[in-house]
Amino acid sequence: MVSITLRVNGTVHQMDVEPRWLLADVLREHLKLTGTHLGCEQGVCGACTVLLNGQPARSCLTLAVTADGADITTVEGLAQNGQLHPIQDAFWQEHALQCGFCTPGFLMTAVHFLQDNPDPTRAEIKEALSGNLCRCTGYQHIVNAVERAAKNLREKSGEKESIQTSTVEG
Amino acid sequence: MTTTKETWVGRGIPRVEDPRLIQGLGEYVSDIHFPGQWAMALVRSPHAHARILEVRTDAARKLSGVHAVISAVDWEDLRQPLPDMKPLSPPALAYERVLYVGQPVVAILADDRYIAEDAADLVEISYQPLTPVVNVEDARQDSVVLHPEFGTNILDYVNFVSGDGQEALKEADHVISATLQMGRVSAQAMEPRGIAALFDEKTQSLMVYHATQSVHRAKERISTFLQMDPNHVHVIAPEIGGGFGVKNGSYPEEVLVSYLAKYFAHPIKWSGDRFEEFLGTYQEREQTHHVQLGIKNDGRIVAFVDTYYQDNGAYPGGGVLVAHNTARNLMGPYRIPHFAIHCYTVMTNKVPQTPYRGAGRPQGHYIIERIMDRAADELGMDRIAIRMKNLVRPQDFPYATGFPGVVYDSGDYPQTFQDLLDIVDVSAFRVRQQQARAQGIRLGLGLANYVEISAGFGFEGVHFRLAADGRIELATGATGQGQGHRTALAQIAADTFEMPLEQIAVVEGDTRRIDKGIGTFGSRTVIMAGNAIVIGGQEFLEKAREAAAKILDVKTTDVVYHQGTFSAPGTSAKSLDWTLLASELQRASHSMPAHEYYFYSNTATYGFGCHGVIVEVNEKTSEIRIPRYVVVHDGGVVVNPLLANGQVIGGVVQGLGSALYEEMRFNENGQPITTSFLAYHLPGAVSVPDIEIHHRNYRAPGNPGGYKGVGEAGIIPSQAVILSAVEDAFRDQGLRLNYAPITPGRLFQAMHREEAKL
Amino acid sequence: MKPPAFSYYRPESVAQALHLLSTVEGAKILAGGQSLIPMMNMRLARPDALVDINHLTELTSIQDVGDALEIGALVRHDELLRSPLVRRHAPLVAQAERLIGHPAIRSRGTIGGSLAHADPAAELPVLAVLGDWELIVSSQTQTRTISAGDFFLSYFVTTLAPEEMLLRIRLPKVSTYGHIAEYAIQAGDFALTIAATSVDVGPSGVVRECRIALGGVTDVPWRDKTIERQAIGQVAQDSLWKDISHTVAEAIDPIDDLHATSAYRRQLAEALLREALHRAAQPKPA
Repeated sequence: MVSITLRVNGTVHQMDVEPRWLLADVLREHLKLTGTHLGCEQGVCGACTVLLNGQPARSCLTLAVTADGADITTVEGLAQNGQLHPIQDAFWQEHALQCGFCTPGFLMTAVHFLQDNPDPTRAEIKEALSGNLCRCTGYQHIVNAVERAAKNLREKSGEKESIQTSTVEG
Repeated sequence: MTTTKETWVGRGIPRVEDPRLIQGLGEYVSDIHFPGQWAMALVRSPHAHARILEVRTDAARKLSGVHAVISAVDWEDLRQPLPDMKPLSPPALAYERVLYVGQPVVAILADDRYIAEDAADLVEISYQPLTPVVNVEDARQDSVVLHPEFGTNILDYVNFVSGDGQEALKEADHVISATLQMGRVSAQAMEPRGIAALFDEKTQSLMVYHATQSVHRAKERISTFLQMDPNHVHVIAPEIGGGFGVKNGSYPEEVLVSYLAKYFAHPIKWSGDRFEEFLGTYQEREQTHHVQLGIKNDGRIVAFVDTYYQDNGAYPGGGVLVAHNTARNLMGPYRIPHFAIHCYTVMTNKVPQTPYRGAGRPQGHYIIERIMDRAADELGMDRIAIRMKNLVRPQDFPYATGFPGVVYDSGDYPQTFQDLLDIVDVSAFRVRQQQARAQGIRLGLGLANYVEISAGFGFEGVHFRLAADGRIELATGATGQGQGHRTALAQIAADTFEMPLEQIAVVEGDTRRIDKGIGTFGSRTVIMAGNAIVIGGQEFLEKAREAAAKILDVKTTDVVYHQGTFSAPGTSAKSLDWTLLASELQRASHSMPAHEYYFYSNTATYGFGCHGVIVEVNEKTSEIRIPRYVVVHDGGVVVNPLLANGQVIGGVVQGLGSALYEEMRFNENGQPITTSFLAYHLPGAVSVPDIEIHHRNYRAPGNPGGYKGVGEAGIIPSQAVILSAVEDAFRDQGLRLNYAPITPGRLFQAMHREEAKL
Repeated sequence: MKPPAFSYYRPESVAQALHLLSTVEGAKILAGGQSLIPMMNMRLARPDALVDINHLTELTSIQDVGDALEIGALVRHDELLRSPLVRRHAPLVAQAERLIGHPAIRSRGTIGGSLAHADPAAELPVLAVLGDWELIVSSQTQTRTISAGDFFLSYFVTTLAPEEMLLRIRLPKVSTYGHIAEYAIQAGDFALTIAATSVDVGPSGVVRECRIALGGVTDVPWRDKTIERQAIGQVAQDSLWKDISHTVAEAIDPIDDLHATSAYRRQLAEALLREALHRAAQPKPA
C-alpha cells in the first residue's frame, strides 16, 4: 500500500492505495464517487473522463498512485451550491442523454473544451467529443447541448464583464 | 366559447430522469456497493468447441482474498440448465463441453475484482479441442453436430407461404436473384451487463439488483433456477446504461450471482467488463439469404421467394425469435401477392444470437429493399419508380401482408415517400451528383421505406397509488434503459388525471411494486404501459372518488373530479385536492386508494416511414461520408417529440454503425477477433451527420392512446439505405454490394473486383 | 480488466530512475500510461515492477539548442500541440498532434512514451524517422544517441535495452514545409495508413529536398531515401507527386490485417502520400 493525497472536488483525501488501483476505482469504490463510470477500461469510450489538474484524463488509464497530489474534478463537482453547471443544464434541456452512463465523461470533456473554445462551430464540437462514445443519442443532441452551453457561458461571462466594467466606472 | 385543451402529451419537455444523471447521482448496478460484497469474475472458455478434461483450482483457491473458486465439475447444482433457453439450455457453468469462446466455466468470488482476476489467471483447465463449426454452410452439413442429443445443427426450420408461393414465380416476366448477407453485430451498450445480489437469511429472501430489461421475467428465471418461492425473490432494475434488447434474456451470470449470493449468504456483485461484453453478451443480425423476386415488365412484384440461414451461435438464446421476425418483415411496406419463405436457424460455435434493436426488422427490410434495388437496376427502371409501383396504398387498408397476424392499418405510404423525395429534392440531387462526378467526387443517394411493427402480444401493467405526500405513484414492470419512460408515462398520466407533471411519479423495474410485467423491448412500453395508464387511470380515479367521498362524507356518485380537485357540487362539502385527500385519509386511518391495471393486446401497431441518405465516397481512401440523412417517420400519437427524436436519431446512428463499421468477426477456429472498441468500431461524433426528422402522426387505430413504436424506426432501413446509396455512387460501374456492413476495407475490395472485371 | 500487481517505484531523479532500471528485475517505465495501462488492464502486459517517471521535472522541458529542439521524454502531447517553439521549428509535429487520440489522451501521453512504445501506426515514430530525430538514451553506465532510423526494430520493439531510458529527443529544426495525411476509420483511432512528407522547393520551382515516411504499412515506420532522391532537381508539380507516390506504392509490401488488406493499404499509401506531397509543396504565405 502507498499513501497518497488526492484533492477531489475541493476536498482533500489522504488514503492508502495499492499501486495497481486505477484512479477510476479509487474514486468509485473508495471515495464512493460513482458518477465516474467505467465503460471500456481501455481508454476508448471516455466514460471515465475526469479533470486531472484541470486537464481531461482517462481515470481508467491513470493509476491512483501516479495522481498523488493532484487536483481532481469529477462530475459530482460540477454543480455548485445546488446550482447546475451551465453544461449540465444544457444537457438536460437539449435531451443530450438517454441512459446517462456515458454522460459524466461527456460533461467533463465539454467543460474543458469550452474553457479553451468559448465559441465553437458544430464541427469543432464534434471533434472535441470524438474521444467519447455514446450508444443512445447519436450525438446530435449532445452537440446541441454543447452549443447551448457555450452560448449561455458566453452570455454569463459577458454579464460578469459588464458588472466588472460598471464597478470600475462606478 | 371553445378553448384548446392544453395537454402534456405532445410536448417536448426535458426529462424528469435527468437531474440525477447529469450530476453523477444515478445508481447503476456497477455503482451499487453492499458492505463487504464479494466480486465475481469468470474463467471463460478460450475454445469455440472443446471437451473439458480437467479443472484445477487449487492455486486460485489459495490466493489471499479469494473466497471460492467454483466449477460445475464439483457443484452439481450449477449444471442445471439456464431457464428460458429451451430446447438446448446450457448449464450455468460448462463442465463437459464448451460450445463458444467466452462460455463461463469457473466462477471466482473474491474481495475485489482485481483479486478475482488474479485468481482467474491461476485456474488451469485442460481442454481437448473439437472441430469448430463457424459458418452456416458447414453447420448445415451436420458433419459435426454441436448438440449430439439434438441430432442436427438446424435448431429451427419454418416456412411461410402466401398465395401460390414459389409457383407464382412462373407468372413473372423477370426473376431477379441474389445472395445477400449481413454480418454479426454486437449491441455494446455503454454499461456492460451486471448483477448484484443480497440474501437475507432472516426473511429467506433474495434481493437482486439487475441490469435487465425485464425484472419479472428475471425473477421467474432466478426463482426457477434456485428453486425458491418466487415471492421471496425481488428483482430491481436500477438505472440501466442502455439495453437495446440484449439485456433481456437468460444469461449464466444472472443465475450464478443469485445462486452464490444465497448459497454463501453473502452479497455478491458481477460487473461485466468490456471484454466480457464482447465475448459473452449475445449478438445479432448474421444471416445469409438466397432471394428471388418475380417481377412484371412494368415493375410490379408478383412473387418473393427467400431461403435464409441465420448463424445463431451455440444455443437458442432468443435467436429463433429473430429469425421468425425477419420473415415477418420481409414484405416491408410493399404489396407482395405471393411469397414463400424458408427460414433456418442454424447452430454454430459462436456466442448465441438474441434480439438486438430491430430484432429481424432490419434484416427483413434489408432483403426486400436491396432486392428491389437489384430488380430496378436489372430492368433499367428507376429505383424510386419500382417502389412507388408496389407500395401499399391508403385504399388497401386494412392490408393483410399474407404473414400470419400482420395487417397494416394506417397512414399513407406513397404520399410519405413522395414527401421524402421532395424534401431530399431528388432531381436537384441528380444534377449535383453529375457536377460532383465531373470533379472526381462520387455522390450517391439511397432511399428505403419501412414498417415498424411494434407490440401486439402480451400485456403490461401499472400499479397506481396515492402516496402520502399527495403525488400519484405509478409502478410498471416495463423497465426502461434510457428511453425516458418516467417522463413519457408521467405525461400520459398527467393528462389522464388533469394534473401537473410534478404530481406524478413513475417507478420502473421493481418486482415489489407490481405483480406482473413483461418488460421494455421491441418499442412496446408506451403502447402497452401508456394504454394501461389511459384505461386503468379512470378506474383508479373511481377508487379515489370513493376515498374522497368518505372524507367529504358524501355519496361517491356526488363526487366530481376536475383538474386535480374532488368536490361534491350541491352539497355543503368543501373540495379536496390530492394532497389534502392524502393527508385526510392518513389522519382518518383510511387506506390510500390503489389500483392495478393490465393492458392486454394482441393488436400490433404499424408505424412506418422512409429514409433518404446522401453519401460521398472517396474512391482513393474508400471512406464513406454522409453529408445528409433524412427521416420521415410516423410514430402515431407522439407523447414527447424531444424523446421521440432522441429515439429515432439514436436508432439511425446505431444503424449507421451496423451499415458502415460494426462487425463481430471470427477466425476459422471460431475465435472472435473484434473484441475491443479498437477493433469493433462504434460510430463516433465526427462520423455521424445531423439527422433531419419529419414526423407524420397517423393515430394507431388499434389502441386507445393511438400510440405506435418509435424505438426501432431509426435502425430498420439503415443497412439497406446505405448500401443502396454507395451503389448509386458507382452506378456507372455497376457496383453490386451484397454484404453489410460496407466497411472501407470491403468497399475497396468491391471496387477492386469491379475494376478487375472491367 | 484490472491490472495485475507490480512493485511500484517513484524515483525523484533521472539518476534514481536509471538505478532502479538496472537493479530491479523486470522493471518497466511508466510515463503517460496511455498504451501501457490498457495493455495491463487486458493483462497483455504484466510488468514485475513499474518505475513511475511522471514526477521527473527534468524531463519536461522543450529547449531551443540552436539547430535543434531538445524535448524531454516526459513532454505530453498537448504541450507539443501548444508549444510556440514546436509550432515554429517543428510545425509538422504540431500538425500531427491534432490527429493523436483525443484531448484526454493527449493530456497524459508523452513523446517519449509514444516513441518507446514503437507502434508503427502511431504518428510520432513516423515523424521521427522522417525528420531524422535523435534519441538520447541513458543507462546507469552510458549515454548514447540513436538516430530514429535505427531505433525501431519491429512492432513494439526498439533498440532500448531493459536498463535504458529515453531521456530527450533532439528534433533538427526544419525550414522545409511538411504535411501529414492519414486515414483512420474513426477520428482519433490508430490510422490504417499514415503518410508524412517534407518538401523544399527552390525559387525556380525545383525540388531541393524531399522526404517521405509512411506509418501503418510495415512493422516499423517506412522510409526510402533512394526514392526521395529521385525527386530532387525535378519540377515540383502534381505529375511528379503522382509518379513518386506510385513508385512508393510499388516499393512497399504492406501488412494485411482485420481492417485493411495489403492491397488496400497500398492504395491508401499512394493516395495519402500524393496528397501529403502536394500539400507540402504548396507555396505558403510568408
